[in-house]
Amino acid sequence: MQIQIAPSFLLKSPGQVYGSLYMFDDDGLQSLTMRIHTADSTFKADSFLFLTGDNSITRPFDWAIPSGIGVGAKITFYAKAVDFTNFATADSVTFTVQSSAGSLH
Amino acid sequence: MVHPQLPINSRFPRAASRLPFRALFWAGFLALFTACRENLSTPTVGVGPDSSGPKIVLAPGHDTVVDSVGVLLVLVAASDPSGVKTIDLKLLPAKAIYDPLNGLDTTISALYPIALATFKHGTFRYFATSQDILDHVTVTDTVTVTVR
Repeated sequence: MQIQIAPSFLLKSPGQVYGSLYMFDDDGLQSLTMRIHTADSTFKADSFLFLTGDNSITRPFDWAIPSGIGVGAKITFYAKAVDFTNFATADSVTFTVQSSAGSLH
Repeated sequence: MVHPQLPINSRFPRAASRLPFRALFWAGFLALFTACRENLSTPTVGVGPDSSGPKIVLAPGHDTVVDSVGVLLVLVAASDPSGVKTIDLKLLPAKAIYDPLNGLDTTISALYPIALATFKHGTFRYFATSQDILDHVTVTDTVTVTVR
């Protein structure tokens, strides 16, 4: 499992967290779990999906970040893949908000 | 005194009865050993992380000759497993400038109309660029168009 982000990526609030997930497993990939949250969990979201059993998958992700998350706040994106023998592997990346507007509801 | 030959089972009854069990034991041991052996082989390689720009289909993709009537439609189609961020067509000389198209998707295609009257009895060139969401850029070969 590898999370790939563009070197030029800047996190804004409101904004987007987008990048690419690369997964590989000899036994076939069964499922993918993604989570994104601020350090204080005032914002959090998650997604779970079953995969098609391929050995190698590259897929984009694109999470909407709400307004009102202050500059300097940390947002962590976490992805975990499970293969058909129930072994799991995960990767995570933490961003810092670079610009912010509005308020978080 | 001559004793008649007895079958082996009669001469060594215990040893003979153990034979199948020994065979079973070793077969089981071998199966367990094979099953429990740690897999130290290098996993086969997948396609690997996305480290290249989008694939671009450009049409016409080779030097061509056209009449100076109407427009030449140039197709630019880009695809990338991580998602295409932009596609763009560059014209040389830059008598027309096209804004890059943005669309966060794994495939994007567009038809660019190039007015041919302005290039009558001359030539122009074009090429396409595309960038994926990981900032990998692909640039196509340059196509030269001769306008009659």
